[in-house]
Amino acid sequence: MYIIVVGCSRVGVTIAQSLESEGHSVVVVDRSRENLQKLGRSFSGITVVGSGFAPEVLKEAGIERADVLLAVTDNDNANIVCAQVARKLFNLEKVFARIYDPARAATYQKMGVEIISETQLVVDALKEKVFTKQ
Amino acid sequence: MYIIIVGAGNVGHYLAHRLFGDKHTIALVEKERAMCDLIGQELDILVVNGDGCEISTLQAAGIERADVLAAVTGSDEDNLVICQLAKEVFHIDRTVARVNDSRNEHIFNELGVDVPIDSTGILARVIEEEVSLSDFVNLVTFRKGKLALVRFDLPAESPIISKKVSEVTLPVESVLVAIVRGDSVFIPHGDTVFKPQDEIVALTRIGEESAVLQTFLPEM
Repeated sequence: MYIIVVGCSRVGVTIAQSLESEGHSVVVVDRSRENLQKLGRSFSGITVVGSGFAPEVLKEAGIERADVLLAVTDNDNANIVCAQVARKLFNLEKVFARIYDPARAATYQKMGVEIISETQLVVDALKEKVFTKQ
Repeated sequence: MYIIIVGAGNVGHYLAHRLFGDKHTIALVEKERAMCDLIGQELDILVVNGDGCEISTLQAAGIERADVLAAVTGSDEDNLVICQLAKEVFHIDRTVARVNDSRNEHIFNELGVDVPIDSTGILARVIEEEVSLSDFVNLVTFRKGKLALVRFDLPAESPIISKKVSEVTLPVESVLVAIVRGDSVFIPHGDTVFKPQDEIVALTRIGEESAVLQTFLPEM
């Protein structure tokens, strides 16, 4: 698959490396060239420097032929805007945004943006650990 | 009106002063404590110290009874999300946002902000008008930047001097609105005659401004 990862955060780096090693075409977008270097020398995918919700940057990242976009910067609002631009301006179907704030996650889920609510995931995982008998 | 302003930088701070002076009820939301304290001393308004992107902060600012929200922080993604939350969660009819990067104006329109204000673009246009030799001024744009009201002075060398309005063909997407001559304002009719130094006011689709000018100005 052709996958665009927006945000070279820890999550971004980890998923980009993982998807690439599984044989997918991966493009990583980040505002900072320095952040993109975190991908390491072994990463052979394409990197694009620029704002992840700027249409011309997404075009450069090949959004018109992409199968999936993952908005995983450390900034909730940048992810929300990026996901909506990908959906509404480029009609990309599979778009996922990572959001820390549970309230915003719930709101945008209702608005039709596919959300990974990071805080909720951790809370659920912790509760399962606490209440599951060994 | 009850107006919520999010972001108390230069723009938000000045806007709060102006709207308060116009007797509106203002609530100001700002992340920085020191700025909140300063404005709290200056103005008798509700100042909320918090992140305007959080629903609880907007509630503390009384968004349930607000008429208008203006998001004027220095971050475009924040301003967009604040306006979307105001619309989707609290059904605010009129959201106004400051666009920091002119290239993002289109996104603000697409994502449902009612009135995006591209401050850099406005400033650049005004400066462009001031430094350019023509007296062409874009008075106002509306319909989300699709229409513009423009004004310019008719030079003595214009090819349409002494012609009637009915003899002049304007570009398809443009309308002649008014002619200002000295202290008088004419609503133009077919037999109104153009005179040198007339001030022309026209309504045009954005992008057609130069075609309008070409009709009225002598060839360069």
